[in-house]
Amino acid sequence: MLAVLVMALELPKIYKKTFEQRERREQLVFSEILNDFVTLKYEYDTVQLRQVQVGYDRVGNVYRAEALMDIFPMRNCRQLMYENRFPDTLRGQHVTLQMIQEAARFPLFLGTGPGRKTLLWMFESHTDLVKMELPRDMFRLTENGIEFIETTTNRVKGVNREKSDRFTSAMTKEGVLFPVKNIYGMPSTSKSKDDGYFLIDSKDKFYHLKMVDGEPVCHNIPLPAGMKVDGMNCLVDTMNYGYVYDQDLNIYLLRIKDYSFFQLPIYDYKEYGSLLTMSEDLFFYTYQLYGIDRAKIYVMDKEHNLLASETLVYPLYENSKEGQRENYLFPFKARFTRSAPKELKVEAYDVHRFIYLNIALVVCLLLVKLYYRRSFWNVFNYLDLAVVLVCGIYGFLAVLIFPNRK
Amino acid sequence: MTLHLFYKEWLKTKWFVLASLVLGIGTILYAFIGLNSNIINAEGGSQYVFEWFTRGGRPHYGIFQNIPFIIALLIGVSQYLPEVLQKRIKLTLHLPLNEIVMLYTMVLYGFLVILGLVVIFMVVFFLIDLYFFPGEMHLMAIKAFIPWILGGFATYFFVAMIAMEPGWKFRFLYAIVVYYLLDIFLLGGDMSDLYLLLVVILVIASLGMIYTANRFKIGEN
Repeated sequence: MLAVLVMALELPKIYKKTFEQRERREQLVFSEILNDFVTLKYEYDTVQLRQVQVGYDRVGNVYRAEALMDIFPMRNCRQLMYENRFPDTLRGQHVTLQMIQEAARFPLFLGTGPGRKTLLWMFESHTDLVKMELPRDMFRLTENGIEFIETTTNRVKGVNREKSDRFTSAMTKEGVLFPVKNIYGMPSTSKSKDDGYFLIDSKDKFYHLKMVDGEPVCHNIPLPAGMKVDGMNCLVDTMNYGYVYDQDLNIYLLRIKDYSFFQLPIYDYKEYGSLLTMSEDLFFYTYQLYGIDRAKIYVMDKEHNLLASETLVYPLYENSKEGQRENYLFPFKARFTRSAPKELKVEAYDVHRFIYLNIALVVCLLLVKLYYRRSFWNVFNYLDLAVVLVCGIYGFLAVLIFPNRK
Repeated sequence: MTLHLFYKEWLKTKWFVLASLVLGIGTILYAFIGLNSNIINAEGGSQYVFEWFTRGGRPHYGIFQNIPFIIALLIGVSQYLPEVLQKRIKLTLHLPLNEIVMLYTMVLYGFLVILGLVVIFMVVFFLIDLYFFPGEMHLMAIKAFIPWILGGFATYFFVAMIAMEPGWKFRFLYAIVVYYLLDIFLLGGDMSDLYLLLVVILVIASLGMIYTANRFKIGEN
């Protein structure tokens, strides 16, 4: 059985690596000139004798080379500047190369996920320093409070009772009911300012905790009726504390000004996986949701009004010719998931497809057994045949590796 | 009789047990020497190290990953290779004791030796670790050690199984299957949902020797 497991794990991987033919994926990009999506594809150019990028808009216009650059001036700003074709004004606004480069932000990886509850840093939020200074202690959340662990150069000194009690009582006074279910923040020194942490207590209430001048500051954040917080991604931003997700995976921005929630016009995050990316440029926020075989792109203006959204479907290996042929060869395949904690996943294929090979292998094994005059009274011989019938090629190889000679 | 057999095994393996002990403790000490140097030399001291570990960096105990596999291999090979190469095992199998009991006494010896070594390693590791880190880090370390240690035992059982196999062709085929099976123990990440699978592999591995020893006894090729 172990041999079957090993083969179910490894053989489909080898098959896929051998036969899979990957095509360059299509891209869907929002053009600031056309104010609509353009599909970018790779096509073979018979003049240049190589694959070149071609853009198709939704009306049916085709854009190649220079025309393609012209509809994406921000993506190609440096090249256009070099060719002296860069426009002065975009979307009615005067633009310079510097403005575009400063506004562009590398995609942020967002999404719900478990926060970390232990060994975090509590930074001083009230500081004039540009760089974060490391505190001398770290904290953990326990069943009935918060505990600060002091550290020296090379070992743990112990719990700072006085500070722990001070913070615990400030939190309890604000109404925090321990144990805390989850905590979100940015425990990193690579940020320019600190907004502390956001926590969900045992009664699903939402709180903001930070340290100002060494003293705890804790606020209850009033939630809209019926809303439960399910996750948060903190930002270093002057307007918003971060993205908050509710129980239905609606996405909100939590405003710094008044702790109010602003709901983003994305309503189908629940149907996708947990990953969400956000990228930003001079005019737009682009949010992308990722599913197994598709991605959904939302483009919003700087006030988070939805401009356009579109779904891009990728060709899946499972649906390709090679992927379909796999179903005739293997009865099932096994793999370990990448999630935490890892799990063993066994996917069975359609019986009507692989049963022919399985029966052929059973007949083959039967002939081998007859040739070597194996006993018909030995129950293990029948067991071998049953294993091959169920596990197909894996079973066949397994009984050859661990032979039964009776 | 059992104690006599244990003594026979001890005579064969004593130097390898000692080598494993030195290797294991040496690795642990080396890990902590590296850690200490990192803590002293990093700006911010131990806090940086905490953060670096909890963020999924390479923790100091990562170096220990292959040790259970290596000691299992050392002890397994030292125990079974001379028996099989010089066909001494045939003599053992003719002793007035049930063959299965006989073989499993040998396996039990190896299992207990590896268990003993692992217990010593863990005691040494956690005694030093307590000096450096709070409880959360120990929990992380334990979670990482469990699959490696189980993998060590599985390696030992598989070595016994392969050693008993009379045919070189089949030894080679088993080795390929075993290689991929042991790979599962080294997947890394959070494996807490896979413990049942690992234990099942371990139990089947411990029974594998019955099959090959039977083939050895009747002289199949």
